[in-house]
Amino acid sequence: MNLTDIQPAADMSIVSLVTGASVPVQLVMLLLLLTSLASWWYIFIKVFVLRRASEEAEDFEETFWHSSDLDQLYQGLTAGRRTPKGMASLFEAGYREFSRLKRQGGLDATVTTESVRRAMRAAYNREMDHLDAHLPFLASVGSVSPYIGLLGTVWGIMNAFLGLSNVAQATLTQVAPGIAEALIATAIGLFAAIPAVIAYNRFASSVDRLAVRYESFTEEFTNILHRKA
Amino acid sequence: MIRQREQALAARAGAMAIGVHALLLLVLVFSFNWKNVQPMNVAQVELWDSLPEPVPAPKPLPEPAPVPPVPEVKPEPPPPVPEPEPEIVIKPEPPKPEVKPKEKPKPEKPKPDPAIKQREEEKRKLEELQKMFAEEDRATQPAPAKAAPVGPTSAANAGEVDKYVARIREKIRGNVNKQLCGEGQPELEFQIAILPTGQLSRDPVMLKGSGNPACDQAVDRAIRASDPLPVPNDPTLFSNFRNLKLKFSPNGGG
Repeated sequence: MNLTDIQPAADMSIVSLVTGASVPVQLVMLLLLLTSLASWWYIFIKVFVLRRASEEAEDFEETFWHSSDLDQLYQGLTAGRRTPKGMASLFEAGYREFSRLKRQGGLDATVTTESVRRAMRAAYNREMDHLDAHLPFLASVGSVSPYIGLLGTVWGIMNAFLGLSNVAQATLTQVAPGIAEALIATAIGLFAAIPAVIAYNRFASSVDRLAVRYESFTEEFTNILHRKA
Repeated sequence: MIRQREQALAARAGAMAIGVHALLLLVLVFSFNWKNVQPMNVAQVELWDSLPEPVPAPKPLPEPAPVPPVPEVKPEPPPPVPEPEPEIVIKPEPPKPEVKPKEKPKPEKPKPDPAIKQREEEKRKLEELQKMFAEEDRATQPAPAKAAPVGPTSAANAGEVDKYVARIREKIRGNVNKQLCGEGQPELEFQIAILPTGQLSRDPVMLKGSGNPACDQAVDRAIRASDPLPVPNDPTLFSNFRNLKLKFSPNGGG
């Protein structure tokens, strides 16, 4: 509690804590910062992608159930050389296979239906791949970055205590700055991990709900085509 | 890394991610109080000195003061008067003049006796304590006595100073790890600089060690642990504590 002890502690700011840390701890902090940036980038991309996919599914279901002519709907979707996305791509794949088999003619309705179902299954898998993209990365960040932060903290605390061994009289002021520096690594790790875990859980459930919607549409559309075949 | 159909969103998402991190950093910088400010302002010394100025305030106090002494003085004489009277009134009829004088002094004596005795005992105890303190301080601490002539120190002031030195010593003794100092009677001398708030203004300096480094360090730690030390509020008395040479024996006795 004297002036000389207070002076070094008084200029403790987050900048000095980061610059004063040892090199391994700084590396850990940098790694975690990059991880956090990437995970937030993916989080925002996924938010936009999933929101758009859900809106498109809603719109498509509305137009699908209100259109009387499937052929016209198919022409409208494939016009202008654009590839349909989401639920529309399932419809496009199924209807293209159906009309191709229809043109060949002389095929059993069950065979036609099976092959339409296979075509839609392939389109469904492609869509699911897009929806699931980046989710494993978020899961890894959520589970691993606290450990990386902890590694930095353990290293920093180790250094702080090694420095303490040279001093005859151990006071808290000699260890405290080192420990504070080290704890920042854990804080950054948690800052990266918590949003990643929340986002992963939320996105996984959104993707599941979209998958259920796609599958039920596939079944319903197969039934319609079976009746037409 | 980025799917083809996500490329349109990538720039917007990247900007938002950077924005989130900037926000986090701002919160981190401004929400935490990274500087640990110690409430240690020397200006407090000035406050002590400026206190005596409002002199007019104490003047009205003496006026009510003389009033209470009057009722205090009056009740004291009446008790002896009415008590002997009933005895006299009742007992004048039987012709026993010899008993009266005996009885009269008796009721008077036992009543003042317990009160006076208690007071005397208290006084005696106080005097003994003061003597003990004075002896202790004379034996163990010539330093404050030498420093004392700087200020206006009367005998009463010296007694006050000794009282506070004894309290400081007691507080430090409570914090010493006595196992480190062994069974003997090691005596150490420390120079301690104290602020008016009782806090140490510098590290305590050891003038005379006990010969046992562990014990020296234990006492040094105890002095730091005793912060804040008990010091008098009176600024004239406090001048003795600014640089206090404290003789100290961890196992008591001085």
